[in-house]
Amino acid sequence: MKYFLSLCLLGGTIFSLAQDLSNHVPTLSKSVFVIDAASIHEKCQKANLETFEFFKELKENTDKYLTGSGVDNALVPMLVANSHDFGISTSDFSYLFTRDRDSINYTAFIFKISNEEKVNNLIKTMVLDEEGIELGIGEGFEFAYNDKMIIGWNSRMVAFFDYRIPYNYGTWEAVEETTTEDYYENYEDRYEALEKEEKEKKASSILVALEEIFNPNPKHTISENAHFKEVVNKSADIIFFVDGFGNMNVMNDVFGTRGTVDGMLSIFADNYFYCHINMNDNDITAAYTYHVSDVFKDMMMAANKGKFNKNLFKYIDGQNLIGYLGMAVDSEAYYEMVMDMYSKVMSSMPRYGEVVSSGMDIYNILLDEDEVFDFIKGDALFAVTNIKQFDVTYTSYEYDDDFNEHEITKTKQELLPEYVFLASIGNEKLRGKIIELLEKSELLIQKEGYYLVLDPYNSYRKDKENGMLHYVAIENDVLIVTNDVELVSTYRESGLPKNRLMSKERRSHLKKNNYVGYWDSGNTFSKMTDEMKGMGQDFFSIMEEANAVIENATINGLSSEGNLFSADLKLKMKGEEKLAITHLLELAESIYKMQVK
Amino acid sequence: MSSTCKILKFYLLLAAITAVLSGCFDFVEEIKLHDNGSGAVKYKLNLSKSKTKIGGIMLMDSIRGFPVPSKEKIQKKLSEMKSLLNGQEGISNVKITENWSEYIFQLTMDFEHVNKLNLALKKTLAKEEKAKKYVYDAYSYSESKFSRNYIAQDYNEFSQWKTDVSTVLEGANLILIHRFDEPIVSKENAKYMLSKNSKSVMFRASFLDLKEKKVTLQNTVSLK
Repeated sequence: MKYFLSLCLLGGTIFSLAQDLSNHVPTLSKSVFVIDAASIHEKCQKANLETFEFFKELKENTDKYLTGSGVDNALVPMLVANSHDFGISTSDFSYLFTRDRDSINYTAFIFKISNEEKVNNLIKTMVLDEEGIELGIGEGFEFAYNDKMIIGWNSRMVAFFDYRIPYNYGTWEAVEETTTEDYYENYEDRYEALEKEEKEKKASSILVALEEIFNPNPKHTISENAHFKEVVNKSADIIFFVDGFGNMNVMNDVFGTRGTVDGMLSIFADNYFYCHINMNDNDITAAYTYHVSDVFKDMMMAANKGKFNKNLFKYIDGQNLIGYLGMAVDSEAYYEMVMDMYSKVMSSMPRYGEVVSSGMDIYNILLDEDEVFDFIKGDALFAVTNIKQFDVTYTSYEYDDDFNEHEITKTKQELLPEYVFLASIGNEKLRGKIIELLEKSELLIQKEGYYLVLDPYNSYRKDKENGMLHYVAIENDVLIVTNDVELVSTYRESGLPKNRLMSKERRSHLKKNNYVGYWDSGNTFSKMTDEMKGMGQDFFSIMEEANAVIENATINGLSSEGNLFSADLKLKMKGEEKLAITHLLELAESIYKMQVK
Repeated sequence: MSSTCKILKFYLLLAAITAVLSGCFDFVEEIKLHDNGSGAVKYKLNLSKSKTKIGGIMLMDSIRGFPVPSKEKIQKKLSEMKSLLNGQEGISNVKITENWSEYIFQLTMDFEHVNKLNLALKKTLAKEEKAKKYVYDAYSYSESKFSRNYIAQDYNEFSQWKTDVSTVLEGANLILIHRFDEPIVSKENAKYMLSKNSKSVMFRASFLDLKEKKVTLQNTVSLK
């Protein structure tokens, strides 16, 4: 029997060691980061992380974490990047997650131990000689905490927490207790008793959080979440996961318990979001995926069918392009989707739900959808095409011989972004009416084929064309809003000459995607040199470093597969001789050096 | 620099100008003083020259560590200042005008005597932790002599800023105009110019010169 029990114990230990730590992450976590410590550690080693000053500083000051920086913004990067030195297992994933309970809100980082001695040293360094640290023993784990952080550990895993006890936790109990409160001889006694009670309450909240992680109910962990299982099947340096259903809690705060959630459930029931972040050799990528409920899948698909009108591209100057952001959707389908979502959410409001819902229905009946969606086509692009000197007028004062004040308008040159907003529009009749109305309200002044936008604040002035000037034009069924007068005067009809258009690569990016983003770091920083210098030498140095590191950033989207809708962000680094992560660390180093100065 | 100038500086500019702007604002103090010591005062902060930058900064929560106050917060502070001044003895007709297009802000009020103006500014600033240390009696008037007093400011606290304060103040101008009912017989500070009708003096200098103590606002005017 004794041998049998020993075998069971051994078997149990081996089984538990083989288990992934995801079965220690509560299923109701608001968000979860899955960190591939092995991959990140390997990349950091390749980039010679040890040689960076900021890292040396982080490593030498591990004892300050308990009273200093938070878990997620300093401790985790340091531990993960140097996992071997701290005894963190690299053959398992580590997890960073946030959890809001009634009694405690926390961000926790948990990892498996590969070298117990090293981990013990780390904990000792952090806990020893610190004031205000409470120590405790739970069921199968030990812990230490102060006002900001908790550390829990056993021979298998370690958990670091940032925590906060919600201000309203225990409020109702306190109200009830006042009726039966004990009598105290003096204020000091009463204060002491209250303080003791608060301490006990805090200790019990902390223990609840630790228990939830070290001794979880197997059915209530994220490892049982089917969506999560799918997401972690694909490898990445870091995976970010948000279960939409879990976050229905947020709605409880808004609508209270009396809200009827059926409508909302149909929206949120099967929603989840995840992102795979990878630090590759020459770029850093983040692939976002959003899983929508069946109710919204068809609507999303319909809305997502939009394409950019090629006429828009004629008005984007590619010579000094800084960046652009845009979306192309089927406006009618998009509108229906948004209204449906609002209608479901608003109708869940206690007391007013039905009224709001009926109001939205009436609004929909009154809205002439044919007119509106003939007018708004659904594609829009905002581009910053240059950073250059513009004439800017401003108000100044002159004084006569008797020092009486006279207001005058002066002009000066200022380095400003040149922008253009473009959108496809139709319905000539409706747009004519809108323009006429804006002209009557003196918000637009007609020029030769285009309009000047007037600032209402300047309407009292003699010189109404004051300040930075913006222009509006409509040509080839494209609405053009810009501060580049040449675009609306000279190139309005024909579009820009071919040699000034965007590159083939950029045009193809716009043609292939309906959600787009692009930023050219080189063009931005080289144009802003003087301005950056004006912001101080330190700022200038960081920007110079950023300029030397980042080539460009692009957003591509939105592709769909079943209920999944995806987009990706790519940060391309300069120079293939250096790894992307080395570039990033160098940037971090220069920021660190500036702060130390 | 007058106390009110300090208030405006703290509540309208602190976050914005410290970070990126240089040569960007004018501050005007205009006083009309009658023989009995009563009069009217106008403080005007003109940020129009930097309006595009301020417009951009106002969209941000903070810039280089300095929180950027929202338009609502600034309006609330100005309104509080107006109420405080309105409640002071010997002060009346307090008006604040805001031009958010040009970023020009103006405070005007009437006073029964410059001593009461000093006291009102002092009491108003006493509520503001950062500004109260700058309080001093900026004006005095007796026996047909008007003095604009000045105590050189300590700029040590600005050395903690990450941006060089000289860059911020470069080109920022201070203009003082003091008008009287009677002609001016003499003035002590040569930097104050006399008007053609001899009833006003005007002082114009950059804040940088003031910081570097190249000029002083101290002046006494003797009236006929």
